[in-house]
This record gives sequence, structure tokens and C-alpha cells, in this order.
Amino acid sequence: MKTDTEASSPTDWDRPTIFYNEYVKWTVYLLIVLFAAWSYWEIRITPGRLLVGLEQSSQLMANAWPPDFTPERREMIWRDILETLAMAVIATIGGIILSVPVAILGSRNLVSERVFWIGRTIIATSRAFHALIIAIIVVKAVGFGPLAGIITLMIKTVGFFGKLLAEEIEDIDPTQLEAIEATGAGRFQTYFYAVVPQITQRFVALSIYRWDINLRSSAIVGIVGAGGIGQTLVASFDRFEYDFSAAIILVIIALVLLGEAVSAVARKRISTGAAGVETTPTRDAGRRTWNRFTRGQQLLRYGSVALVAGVIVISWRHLEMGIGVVRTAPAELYDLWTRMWPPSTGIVAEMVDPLLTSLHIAILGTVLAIALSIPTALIAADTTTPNRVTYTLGKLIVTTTRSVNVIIWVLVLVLLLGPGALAGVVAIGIRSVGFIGKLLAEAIEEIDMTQVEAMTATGASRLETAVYAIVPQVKPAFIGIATYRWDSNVRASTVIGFVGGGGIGSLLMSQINQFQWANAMTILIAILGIVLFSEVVSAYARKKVM
Amino acid sequence: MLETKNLEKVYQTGDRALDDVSVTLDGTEVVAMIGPSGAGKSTFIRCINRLVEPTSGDVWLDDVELTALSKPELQRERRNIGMVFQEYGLVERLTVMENVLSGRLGYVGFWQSLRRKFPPDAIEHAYETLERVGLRGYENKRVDALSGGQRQRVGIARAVLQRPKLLLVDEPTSSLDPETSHAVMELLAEIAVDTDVPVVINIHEVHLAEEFADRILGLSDGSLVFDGPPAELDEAAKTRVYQGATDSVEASRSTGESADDQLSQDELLTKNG
Repeated sequence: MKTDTEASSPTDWDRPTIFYNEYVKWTVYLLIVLFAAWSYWEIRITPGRLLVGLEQSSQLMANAWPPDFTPERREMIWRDILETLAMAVIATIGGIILSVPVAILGSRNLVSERVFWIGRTIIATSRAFHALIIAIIVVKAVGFGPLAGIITLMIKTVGFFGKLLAEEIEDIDPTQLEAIEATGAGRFQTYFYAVVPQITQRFVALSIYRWDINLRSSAIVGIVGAGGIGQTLVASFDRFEYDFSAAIILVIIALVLLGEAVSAVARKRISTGAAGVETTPTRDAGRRTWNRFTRGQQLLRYGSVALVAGVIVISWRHLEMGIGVVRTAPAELYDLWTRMWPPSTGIVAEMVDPLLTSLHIAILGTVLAIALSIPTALIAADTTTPNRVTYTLGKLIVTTTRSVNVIIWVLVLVLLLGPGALAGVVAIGIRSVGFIGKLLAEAIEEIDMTQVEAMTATGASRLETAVYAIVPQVKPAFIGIATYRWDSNVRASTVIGFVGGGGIGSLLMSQINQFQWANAMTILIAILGIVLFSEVVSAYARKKVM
Repeated sequence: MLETKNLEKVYQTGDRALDDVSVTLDGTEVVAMIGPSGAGKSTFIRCINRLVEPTSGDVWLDDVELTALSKPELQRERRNIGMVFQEYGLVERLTVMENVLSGRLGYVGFWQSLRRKFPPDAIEHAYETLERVGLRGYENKRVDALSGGQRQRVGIARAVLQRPKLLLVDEPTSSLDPETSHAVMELLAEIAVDTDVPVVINIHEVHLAEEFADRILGLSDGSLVFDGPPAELDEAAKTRVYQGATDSVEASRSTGESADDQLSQDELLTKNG
């Protein structure tokens, strides 16, 4: 290059690709498209079936409206709601207590390498399985009722909380530890002055957030008999009491939105409260004294702790579970384990097909969600929405689709489209619209308008401006959100079979109902495999587009 | 040739950003527009290519009345006006080459732009321009991997690719260190000569304006209060341009030695900014 400065400059240029070369790039794209096409072919979605579903929906609406809120029903719902709330509270507290040691095991800076991997394996396993899969097993171990639900949610909490807490512990600033140690403080003093302040705020915020998630889950684990309002919901479907079902679904939506609001407000107060701590120099008998908090703040703090403790006690008493069941549960779970291990190979041939169906459902559901969520995001972002009406509509779509669990969508869609994969695809699609739509709208609202202005100034058309200035800014967020959702949808697709939505779930359920525990174990391992696989793929894709 | 006649801009908030500004720019001169923050410098530049719609008054580029154009006509005419932005205005996640070639978007169809297929002469021109601004070999780098000075060079290259009849430059040095600022201004002055087009530069560093401009316009509170060569920009003229200064700064100015004038000038700008 140094010698030929006289030569004219090149007249062609190709955009460098993040793949090894152009061929790899197009092969990857082609494979994705082919897989989606294969999924479409397998699920056999025809306009006819969707039309039938539309017809059915008006029929169902007529049956479900008005929702059945007669006094007797109200009482049932009220009782179930209290149980659901109590389950969420107890499971959150129990899960958090359990997750502290697990988090310590999973923190690289506190334990040896081998122990670290044990900790991380516990965390990864509990995260990989959908709450309903854990619930269906726990129900067999400890019987029907809220205890099974609580154990399930505790296991899920350990996975979630253990991971985030471990990451938090790994991020601790060691110089603060050293500095406190250097003053001659004891071991526990060092913990309280140098470790606790670094993680308290996040710990409390995460606890509240997890309570919010547990509330959503405790509303559905009843579908497999693990207590809470889900049990009543599924029974109402079985008895064709759709007006009652409608009432329950409305109450669940209200409960979920309320939980979300409470959790958001509480988390906000914590993050602002910590910054606003005031010190109060006062004079006492001529000497200056210092208190960390004013009397009012101190009272408020004691009051909050008392309130939380009170809620826990009331929840525990409400569930009317003796401490005895907790003592026997580990033994029963161990007994179950002995029946599950070693896994059987006899089921392998039978399970390939439903496993593939689960993958197809996850892919098509995600594709459907993406197609629906792009216009939703455009009208739900205040920078791109045409007017107030569309904006409100966008927000409404996002909120309602997000706050109804995918399992409830499946229950409803099985009625409209018949049992099978199609109901699962549509359910996953609808549930994901809110999720993708919300995050995508936020990404669109955050774009840098200077880049748009600069493209406009060159004389580019509106479409060209969109392609050059908007798409590149939103693309990483979009791919990140879409692959993350696909990953979540793979987990969901393994359980929708429990309520007739197709995939591996129905096979797993039938094996468990026939007490074929060794077969069930094989299926669980396969599920673990595809879930971890999809997690790796989506994490890789996210990393690539950064 | 650029001409503005009685240009006026009143924002919806009631702020009068431009008040009766009439200027004629000829040939290949480098024109620096100075004035305190909020004097209307950015508004003036944006009223020329109508990123901001003027409230009244006309803008003429050669024999085209920009202010009379319809939306599609304006889009076509904008191709003739290059613009360099304060915070670069580059698409951060695209490569240097894509950013430079985006100066040709007004000349290619939508599908070509989507496939990043630009005509060979545009690509050749892009390579030459990258070489010209000192970024040879950077074409496949992503813009967010570049330094501030390099980004501003990409911004300039993009404007050059338009083969403009007029170059608008909005505070090109405000995010750069003094040394880089000097180099960028030098480049802009050379580009003005190379490409034979008038360049309008908004700038708040008066010493850079004095060094590089053929002509200086002073804007104060939306009105043109100075118009002349750098040599004529004496103390009285500077005071006129920056008369909106606060009392305390005025006080510090009056006590300062004449050698500190530049310093107090900068101080004043910091306080205003």
C-alpha cells in the first residue's frame, strides 16, 4: 500500500460482517429461516384454523361475560387470593434465607473453585426448569396444597436470588474490607461495616422484586395442584364455568398489577432513601452528639421491619401449615430422588418428537411476537406514536398481555383453537408481545436524535433516514430482547403441554402420573439440555451484536 | 452564494432566537459566527437548511429560495448543503465508510442504500476524502471506537462527500481539546479552499475564529452586531458581541490587564455556558 500512493483509490467497498465471511453470514440467516419454515410446516397453521378460533372467541366471550362476581364466588376468590399472597410471602422469605448460603457457595471470591462449581450448578439447575415442572414433582413428593407451591417457589427463588446475590458479592470492593480491617476491627465488625453496607440496598430491592415475581408464579402453580388461585381457575375451566374463569383472570391481572406497583414504589423508595440519609448534630449537656438517623427515621425503620415481620407471621398462620411438614419434606424429596435415579433410556425414542415440537412452538411463538410487537412498540413509544389515542392503546396492549401468565393464555386459547401446538404458539406469541413491545418502545425512546437530524440534513429520504439513523441504534436492543425472549419461550414451551398446549409437557405429565419416575428423569435431563442450549445461543447472539 | 434576508426565528416558548439577520456570503470565504451561548448561532445555521423553520425572512442559495421550497424540493436541495455537527451527529454503530457514504444518500435509491451499494465514483471519492482528512485505513472501523477528533473528521468527510455548494459547521470544537480543535479548524479552512465553497462556522472560541476566518459575524441576543474581517474585531466590538454578560464578569473584565483579555473572554463564556 505504501508504494502505490499514485494509484487511484478503490471504487468498491463491502461492509465488513461480524461473521467470518459473507458465506457464513448467509448460511446462518438461511438456517434460521429454514428452521422457522420447518416449524411452520410442523405446526400446520392454516388460516382456516385461525378463523375457526376467531368464531369461537365470540362464543366464548358471550359465555364469559359478565364475569361471575356473585357473593359466593367472591368469597372463594377472596380465600384463594389470600392463600396466593401468603404463599408468595413465605416462599420469598424462605427462598431468600436458603439462597444466602447458596450465593456464598457460588461466589468465586469466597470459596474454592470446586465448591464454586457446586454452588453454580445448584443455581443453574433451579433456574433452568419452569416453576410448573418443579411444582409437578414437588406435588408428588409432599402432596397437593400450598406447601408444594411454597417449596416450588423457594427453589425458583434460590436460583434467581442466589445468582444475583453471588454476582453482587463478587463485585464487592475489597479495599473497603481492607480499610476496615486495618483499623483493627474484628471479623464481624468488618462484615457489618464493609460488606453489609455494600450489598444491603440491592439485597432489599431484589427481595421485593422477587416477591413480585413469586406472586405471579403463585397465581399459576395451582394448575398442577400446588395451591393458590390457579387451582380454582383450572377447575372453573374444567366445569365450563367460563364466567367464573373470567372473574378469576380479572382478579389475577389486578393482583399482578398491584404487586408490580407495590414492588416498584418500594424499590424506588429504597434507592432514593439511601441517598437522602441525614445526620443530626444535636447538643447534649454541652457536648455534641451524633446519630445516624433522626428519631422519626428510626421509628420508620423499626415500623417497616415490624410490618414485614407481621405480614410474614400472618401469612404463615393463614396457611395453617405445621412446622412438621417442613421437617418431613426433605426426606420425601430424597425418597423421590432414589426412584428417579438412574434415568431410563426407554423413553428416548418417544420423546424426540414432542421435544422438537416444543422448540418449534418457542420459535414460531417468538416470530409471531416479533411481528406483532414492532407495530406495538412504535405506537407505545412517545417519540414515534402518532397521537394520544394510539399511545394509550399501545400501553394497554403491553400491560394486559404482559400481566397474564402464558399458562392462562394457553387455557383460554385451547378453548378457541383446540388442544395442540397451535394454541401454544399463539399463547406464547401474545404473552411475549407485551414483553418485547415494552422494552423495544423504551429502546426507541432512547435513541439519539442528532443522528436522525444529521441524516435529514444530507438530503436523505425518510426511509433512508430510518435505515441509517434509527435501525442501527435500535438493532442491538432489538436482537438482545428477541433472543432473550426466545430463550424464555423455550422454557415456557416445555410446560404448556400441562394444559393442552402441545410439546414435551404432556409427555412429562403422563409419565409422572403413571409414576414412571425414571422416564420422567430422562425427560427432565433433555429439557435441561435444550434450555441450557438455548441460553448459550441467545447469550452468544447478544454478545455478537453489542 | 448564500444570502439571508431579515431572517427571524421566534420559538414557541416566545424566545426570539434570531432578529432580523441579513447576511450575504460570497465565494470561498470562511465565515466564523461568534457570540455567547444562546445568542442564536445554532438557530441561524439550522434555519439555512431548515432543520429549524424560520418564522420569517428568506434564505437564498445561489438562485434557489430555500425558504420557499416544498418538503420534497427541500430534501433535494439539502444535498447541496453539507453540515458538520457539534456532537458529530454520526451513526455510532455503523462503520466509518458507511457514515462517510451516507453523505450520498440523497443520490441513491432506497434499496441501494439498504444494501449499502453506492456507485463506484462515490466510493472512490470516499476513499480519497478519508485520505484527505487523515483517516486512511479507518474505513472498516466502527465510529464508536474512534476518538473525538477522529469522529469530527468523519463528520467533515461525510459533508465533503455531498459535494456541497455550502458547508455549515456547528460548534465543531466544543467537545474537543485545544490541540485537536486547532487541527480540526485547520482542516476546515483547507477544505474550504480545496472544495471552493463558502463555509459558515459557529464557534465560541474567539481566538480560533480570529486565526482561521476570513470574516467574522458577531451575534448577540439574536441580532447581528458585528460583521467584518478579524482585524476589525477590536475590544469594543467584542464587548458589543458579549454585552449580555453578567455584572460580576463585567467587573472582573474591567479590572483585568489587556493581556488577560482572552482569559476573561473564556471565563465569560464558561459562565454563560
